[in-house]
Amino acid sequence: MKKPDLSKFRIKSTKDWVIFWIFATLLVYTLADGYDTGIVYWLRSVETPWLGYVNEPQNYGRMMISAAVLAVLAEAVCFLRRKSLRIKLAVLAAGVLVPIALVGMYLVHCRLIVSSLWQEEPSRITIWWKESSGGNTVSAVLYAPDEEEQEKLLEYCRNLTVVSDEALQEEFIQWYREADTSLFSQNHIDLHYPERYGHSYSLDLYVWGDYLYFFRGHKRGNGYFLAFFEDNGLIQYLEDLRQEQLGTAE
Amino acid sequence: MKFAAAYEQSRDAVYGYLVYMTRDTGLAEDLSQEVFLRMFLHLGKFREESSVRTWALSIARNVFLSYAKRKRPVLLQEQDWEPEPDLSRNLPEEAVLKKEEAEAVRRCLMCLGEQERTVLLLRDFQELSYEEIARIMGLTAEVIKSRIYRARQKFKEIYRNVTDAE
Amino acid sequence: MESEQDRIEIPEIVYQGDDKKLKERIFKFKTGSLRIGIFTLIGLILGFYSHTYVSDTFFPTKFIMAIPYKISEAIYVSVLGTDAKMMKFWHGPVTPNAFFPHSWLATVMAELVTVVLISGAIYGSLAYFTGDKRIFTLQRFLKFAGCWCAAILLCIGLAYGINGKAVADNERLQGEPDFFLYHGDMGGVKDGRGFYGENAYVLRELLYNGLSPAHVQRNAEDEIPMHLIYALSRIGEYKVNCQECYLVTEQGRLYHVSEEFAAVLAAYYESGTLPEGIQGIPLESSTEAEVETE
Repeated sequence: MKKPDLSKFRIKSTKDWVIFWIFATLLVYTLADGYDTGIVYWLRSVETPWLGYVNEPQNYGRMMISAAVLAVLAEAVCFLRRKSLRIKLAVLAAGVLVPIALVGMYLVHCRLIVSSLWQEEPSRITIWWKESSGGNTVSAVLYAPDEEEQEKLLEYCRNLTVVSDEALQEEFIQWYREADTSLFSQNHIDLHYPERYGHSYSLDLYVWGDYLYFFRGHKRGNGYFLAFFEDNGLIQYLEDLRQEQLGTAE
Repeated sequence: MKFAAAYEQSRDAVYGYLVYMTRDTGLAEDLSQEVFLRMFLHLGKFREESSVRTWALSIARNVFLSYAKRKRPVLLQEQDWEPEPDLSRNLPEEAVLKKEEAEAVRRCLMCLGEQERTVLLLRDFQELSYEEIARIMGLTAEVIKSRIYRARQKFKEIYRNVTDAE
Repeated sequence: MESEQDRIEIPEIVYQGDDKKLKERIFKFKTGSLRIGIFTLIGLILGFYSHTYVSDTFFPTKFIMAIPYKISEAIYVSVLGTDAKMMKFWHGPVTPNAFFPHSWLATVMAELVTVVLISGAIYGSLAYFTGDKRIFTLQRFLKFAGCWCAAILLCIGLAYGINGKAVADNERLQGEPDFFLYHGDMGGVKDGRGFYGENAYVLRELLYNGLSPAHVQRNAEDEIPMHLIYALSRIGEYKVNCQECYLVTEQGRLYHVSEEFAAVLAAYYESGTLPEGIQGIPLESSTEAEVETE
């Protein structure tokens, strides 16, 4: 069998190498979309519990996959072109360090987005009070607090403590799986911040007994990422406001 | 017909023709590359109504004309006689004489216009028939005959004047 | 008569160099063509994923990926125009922002196939512009570009042709459609639901049994909307006046419908449920009828 002529596939000029790498990057980056779900779930598990999926910085998973694949490709090119061991090791190191650096960047980016809660004033605070009708939740009443009330609410939200008790978390997740968690099913307060570091930020806290929780997103295997917080008086304050505005208790 | 065979049959004819037309071996090589590329691309359309050499020379002439019209129109015109530098260093006398003669022929050819040069090269250098030359140049065989006659007369006159002067 | 003495002795010239030099352009042509092929293939793949620019937040890649899609959008929506404007009632099965809401196949031609071809043309052209100019000349490029233009124009023509046929077939209510019915009140439509396959059997029977061309005065105020979904996701938008028992198509063609069909539609509009026996295969025609419960 005639040996195929591979010389015409050889990339010779610098110009063509530049084009090769640009195309390879584009292709890998494009095809990486849709394969980064696992990485996104993992990133969500390590990021700050104050951030939800709605405000998560995008594309980091995709970039990590792209960096790893391009490193493998670069390594293959190094072997084919018989580059020195030093260069091969450098490429390997880049393939490992770049994704790690991206993880670091992602965590920093998340913290920067979340920092709006403590460093900026929200553009909007909205309270939703559950309105029941004969035992079935029908709708919610919206309330936009005035300036003084907003200040108080913000102070409460900024001083919430994340609950880390695992037993309590398990109990909560068990309840969450079976409960009705649609939009109007519990009282909740929503703080919305304008765009900063490329993303807006919103903290959407729902009331559960003596705790507040925040839905952060899904995890692998139909699970959920939830953050919940010990009440520091916020729940009572919301109730007081409700009584004041609507003259009704829950 | 395979390209390799067509190439072998026409290589020297094409190269030689272009050397005489351009008086520059580098340029002749460049233009030859273009000729062989066109032969490669259009080999499927070659119907063997003429010989491969005739077809190749027809392409060579077109390539030369395109180049000359765009880049060096002076190659199409009659040029003044230019004395050549001494080529005799380190060569035996016979070789020098042959080389000088060949160079004189080339320079005399450059003193002719493109059409006259072409008919002389195709007839006396490539030894093509009147009909083949007529096909390449898009003229009739009768016209070609008379042009060859006039071109030869002119060439001989120039050559005589040059050799007498030297 | 020509004699040997008349001939001029022109010294022979034999090429002394390497044959590879004379064949250099042929080799470069082959490698260049392969390069164009590879660039075009990459262009086709990137064109297939061009629509993913929407979810990309990194601007340079977003910009590059968007180019073929946006060119296609410019051609179809801005330059040539589509019949998306004809659709009055964007609800239910009608895909918002579809280039050709009446025909999924035409939309695929526009949003996918045309984009893929445009991307292939762009990247293939890039190979031309970055290739050896002596070999890949402007003339050769124009032939290349001409072929791509022809392919793209053909695709555009096909998309419009498929959509045109879909709209024409919708006007004649050609096919065996599924139904998307709406319910609401004086204030307008509140919600809708699809009835597909066997669940639409009786509706189909009722619709086509009494269907005939009509020449009546329209009373648009009492017309309620309905979508019919035919094979290959061809969608037709219709209005039915249940009191006067007529149906009107998007282009204003009028048909009589049976009183039974009009009654069923009116009942659904009012209550959000179909009368018993209307959904699924009729009870009398099957021993194991399954009536779907809401």
